[in-house]
Amino acid sequence: MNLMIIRITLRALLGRRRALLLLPIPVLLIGLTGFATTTGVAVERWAPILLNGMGLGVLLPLTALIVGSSVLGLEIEDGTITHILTKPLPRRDIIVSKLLVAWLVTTVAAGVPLGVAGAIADGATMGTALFVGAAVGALAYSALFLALSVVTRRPVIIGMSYILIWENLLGTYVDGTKVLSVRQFSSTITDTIAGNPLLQSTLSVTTAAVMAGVFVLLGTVSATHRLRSFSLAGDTN
Amino acid sequence: MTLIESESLEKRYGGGTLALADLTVSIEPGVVGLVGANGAGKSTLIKLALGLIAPTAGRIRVLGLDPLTDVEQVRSQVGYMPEHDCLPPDMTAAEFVTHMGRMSGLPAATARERASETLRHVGLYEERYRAIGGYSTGMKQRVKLAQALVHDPELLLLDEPTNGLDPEGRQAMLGLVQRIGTEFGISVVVCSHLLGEIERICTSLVAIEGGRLLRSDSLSAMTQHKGVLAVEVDERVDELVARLAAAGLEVREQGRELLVRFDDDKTYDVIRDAVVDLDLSLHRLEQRRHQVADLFRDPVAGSEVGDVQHA
Amino acid sequence: MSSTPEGVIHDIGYQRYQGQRLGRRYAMWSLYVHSLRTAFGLGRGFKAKLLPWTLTAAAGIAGLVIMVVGTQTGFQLVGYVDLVANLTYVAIILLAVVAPELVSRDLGSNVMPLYLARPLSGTDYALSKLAALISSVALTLGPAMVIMFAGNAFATKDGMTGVLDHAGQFGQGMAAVVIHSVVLAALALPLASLSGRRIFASTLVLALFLVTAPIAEGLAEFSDNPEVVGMITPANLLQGVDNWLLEGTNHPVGVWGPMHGVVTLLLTCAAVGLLLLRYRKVSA
Repeated sequence: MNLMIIRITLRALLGRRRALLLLPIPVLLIGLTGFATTTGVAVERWAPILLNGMGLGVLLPLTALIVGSSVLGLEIEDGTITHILTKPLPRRDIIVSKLLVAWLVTTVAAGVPLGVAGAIADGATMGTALFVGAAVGALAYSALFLALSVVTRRPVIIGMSYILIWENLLGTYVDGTKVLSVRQFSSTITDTIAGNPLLQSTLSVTTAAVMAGVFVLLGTVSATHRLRSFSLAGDTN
Repeated sequence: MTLIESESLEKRYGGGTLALADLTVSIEPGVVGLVGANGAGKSTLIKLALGLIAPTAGRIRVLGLDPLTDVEQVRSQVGYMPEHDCLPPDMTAAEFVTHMGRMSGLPAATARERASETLRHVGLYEERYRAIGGYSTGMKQRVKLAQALVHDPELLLLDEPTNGLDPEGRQAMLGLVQRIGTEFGISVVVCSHLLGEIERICTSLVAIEGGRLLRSDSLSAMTQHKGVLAVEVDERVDELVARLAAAGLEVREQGRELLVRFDDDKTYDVIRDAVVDLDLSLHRLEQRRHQVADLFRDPVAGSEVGDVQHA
Repeated sequence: MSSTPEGVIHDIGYQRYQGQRLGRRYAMWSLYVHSLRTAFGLGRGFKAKLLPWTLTAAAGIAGLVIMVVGTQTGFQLVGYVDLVANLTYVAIILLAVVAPELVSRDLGSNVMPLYLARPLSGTDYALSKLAALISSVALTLGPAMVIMFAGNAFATKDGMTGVLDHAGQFGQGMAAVVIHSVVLAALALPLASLSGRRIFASTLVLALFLVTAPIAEGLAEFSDNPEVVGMITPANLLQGVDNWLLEGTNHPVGVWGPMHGVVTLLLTCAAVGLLLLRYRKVSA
């Protein structure tokens, strides 16, 4: 872990106007949740849709995608990665620092609103549960997308396909895929902590926790490994 | 035909910045230097000439046409080389220039041919089949020039063509520009803030300062008048100054030299006689050619002048 | 005056060009073709081709499977028009990848001044790009329709009537392809043009389609008219239009049909208007 890298990355990520892009969806989510509670419709009917569908299914993965793939990916894309690579820093430190920043930003940008929405919907326990579930999901997603941005040339496409096809499409119909779906990890952990199956998750908590850990580990290791052998041939997409 | 002609041209930007004010100039064919400090209004003039922005007052004509109403015609006869980075990194130079040629109206096969030739003319050979992303600054500048030339324009607008080049690269680019202007028969307007380079290749000059016209003239005209003689002796300088002044010459000390305003050959004689009479050793007596930089300051008085210089 | 640069040779001298100069239309056409080629990765190596061709293949395979099942068992899983609706996911992924390739790259590399110094205007540029994007989606979804039609036409047991019947459905399917392509592309391109970085542009496009789905679902729980609320989602909107204008779909919207049509039209026009506005203001 390296403080300098953390600081630089944070500044680069949040210092631009485009950081505002992270705002609309959380605001929308909280607004809709608030609206939903006023309608008197039972929580069980809309919570899965808003909190799971929009929150864990869209807000969290998309935020993690933007943040996770740009935290190192932008530097790789425009070649400025050389600045970091020429410093005597262990590659692992670089990756871990970047991962930390990605996780932090995603958790704040997506996890906090989710926690707030959860609290509005069903009380403080739900709020905390959602926050923790989202935080775990954020870590797993960040590791995944960070690794993709180093190992592949088009992390956004692959990440997108993962979210759209694997998690959303197949995940709804094919049970087997749920083991590898970060969204399921998040919802499982949330439901477990909240003590009620509001989000209709189906994995066991142990599976979820373990698999999330696997994602993080694999992601970090493969990213570090690939970064070590990074050649800067100046080739372009 | 006049290349660019403007009458009381004014451009005021939204925030109130006055980029060009009351600019009346007539630029004749040849290799024209458009000089001025950064922010003096050169780029604005170019954008107005291309019809990319509209004047807030006055009018401008390019090759006799209005760049706002005859947009297509003007742009098909003009080539533009911007100052900043503007090349896509993942196309090859050949592909890119061909594509730009087609964008300018050349049929497909012609575009390919001319792209090939133009790239050769600017000095890119085998490299043109490699992706632009891997090019050096010099090569990129050449590609920019090639895309401006590919459709055989009547007029080339080059904005700081030597930007980012090392001294050798600058020489090469200037030489290229000069060849374009003289051998290819295309008129060129070169924007630059580097006066020394401009002097070397241009046939006429338009100097802009603070959005206003400072001077517009052919280079020979500008460098002919107001010569200055530099005189260097190693002692009793004051006596020499007094002697020359008494003889009616305008003298100013600058460091170890005396600058004497020089109107005709008689000045040489006066100086020579004075030096001989005072029994001084003359180290140097040479004519300082009037430099473009002097447009921006009075060479003998030595102060910055913002007004139009009188011959 | 200055030294001749080394290594710059010209053998035959510079040739002036006296030939024809085609105008704006030709430039727009050239840009359209160039963009379409970029979209499908032609002339750019394997990786650039991977995604668009895979998506087209996936769509085609879906059409193939449905056709085979239909001709072998007589049971048609999904109709022509409904297939197009189901392929919206495919279209979205294509848009999220191709739209940034078409516009974000040019914005990011600052090449716009070079385009604008040419006889075509900013809006011409935008229209050419939009046409290319629409065509990309259509070319991805179209083959599925063709495969279905070809297979069914060959295997039909009703002779000419059967073929004509399928031809009619094929026509409906192609109409759906056109409508979907136009609307989806019109929505995606202005979004992508907001950023010069492909990563952000992709995510913006994706976000539009992803976010609207759960919102629509959620609001449907609170509203008495789920079809109206569903119009928030482009996918539902398009399904509604399909149902209203075309035959052979399974998602009836009944009386709300015309409203879907009007909203779609307005939305598309607004999106295209925003796109043109954005490119009118791009300057050197």
